[in-house]
Amino acid sequence: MIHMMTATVDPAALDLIDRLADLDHVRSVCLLGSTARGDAEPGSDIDLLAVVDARRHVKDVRSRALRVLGVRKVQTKVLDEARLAEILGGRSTFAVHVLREAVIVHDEGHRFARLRAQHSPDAPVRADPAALRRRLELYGDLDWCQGLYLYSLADCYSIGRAAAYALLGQRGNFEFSAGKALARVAEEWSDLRPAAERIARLRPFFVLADRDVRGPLPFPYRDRRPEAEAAVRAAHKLIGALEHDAARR
Amino acid sequence: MPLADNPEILRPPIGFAVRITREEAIDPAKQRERLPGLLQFVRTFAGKLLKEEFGTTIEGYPEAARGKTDELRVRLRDQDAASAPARQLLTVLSDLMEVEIEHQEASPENDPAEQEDFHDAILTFIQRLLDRFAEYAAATDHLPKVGKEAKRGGAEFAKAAARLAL
Repeated sequence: MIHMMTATVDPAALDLIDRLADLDHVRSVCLLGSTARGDAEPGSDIDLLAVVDARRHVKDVRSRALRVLGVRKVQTKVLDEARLAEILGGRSTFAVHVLREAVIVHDEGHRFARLRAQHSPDAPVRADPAALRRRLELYGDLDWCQGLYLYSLADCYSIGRAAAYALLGQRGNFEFSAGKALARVAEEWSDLRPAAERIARLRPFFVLADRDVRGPLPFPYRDRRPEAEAAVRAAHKLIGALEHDAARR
Repeated sequence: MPLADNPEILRPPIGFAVRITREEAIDPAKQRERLPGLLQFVRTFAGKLLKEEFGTTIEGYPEAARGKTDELRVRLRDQDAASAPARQLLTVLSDLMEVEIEHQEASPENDPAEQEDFHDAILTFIQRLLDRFAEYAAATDHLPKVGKEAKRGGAEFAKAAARLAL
């Protein structure tokens, strides 16, 4: 049951979605991320959201979902309808991304569309800076990395990117493309520019760690503690701004 | 170049387990929140171990790393019948990577029940990783100190897991 225009989506991805939609208990399937926005690059992940009728079926569907399509990584979030409703009501960055950008490809009885219609796509994000702070706490002691900073740099990118989405989103500015969000933060908050630009430069480490795709790296990741420390500080700076902004609301 | 016989490589995770065991009062929820540090250790340890002991570089994690770890295990099985300790060690690493893959696919928001399962699994697998590494080290002649430390670490993890389960 195709509900929206999917002409720009890779036919192989649509085939993948059909297979997912065919599984027992799957009620709705949506495209998320860059594929949904139509700005995917070659090799970008395919992000999917599958909604099942009951929580007890989540693990089974998750285990059956394919993880790769050719060279592309497929990330399938599987949620039951009750949990999805709870998440959308929480207005996290992920929830607002689903409300604004999810492309519905399969939707039995319009259940997903009805649920989505209960929430405004334009209300601000309710950010959770404490959760980002907890993720970053781990890098308070970089000795854990033992000189291999690839994953800490990749994680700082992921955390900093999330802070940028949330910072914009809680002001009602919605941007879910990392490069654009970080550029916009750099433009709108001059004091955050160095931190946002530093985080943006870490993307190749994230791509390498997350997708095993090696492009030109801005610096080697082994034994570069000062760069790893600077990345942690930059992520802290963005989270601090998010906390400050959230406290004023 | 083989892995250096330096127990420092195991200091962070064993310190984590010892703190749980020795603290008079612990908050299990807070300790579990800190478990991502252990995942960082696993990535680093896997990276060093695979490169320095087996000449295999991993960068993409966890999917690509798991694929390379499994390929290496199969290669060792086919080439060297005496490689059982190494293969068992690689199996635990592969299992840990699989747990992380499953966790990444879990709910994007923290689902308390899933988080709980995940954290319990990580503690169990790290204990197993340390135990298997101790066995692997005992089968080589160049890792006596770090092998001994791994054995101690496995015991500390068993105690920590028991305390968190209370």
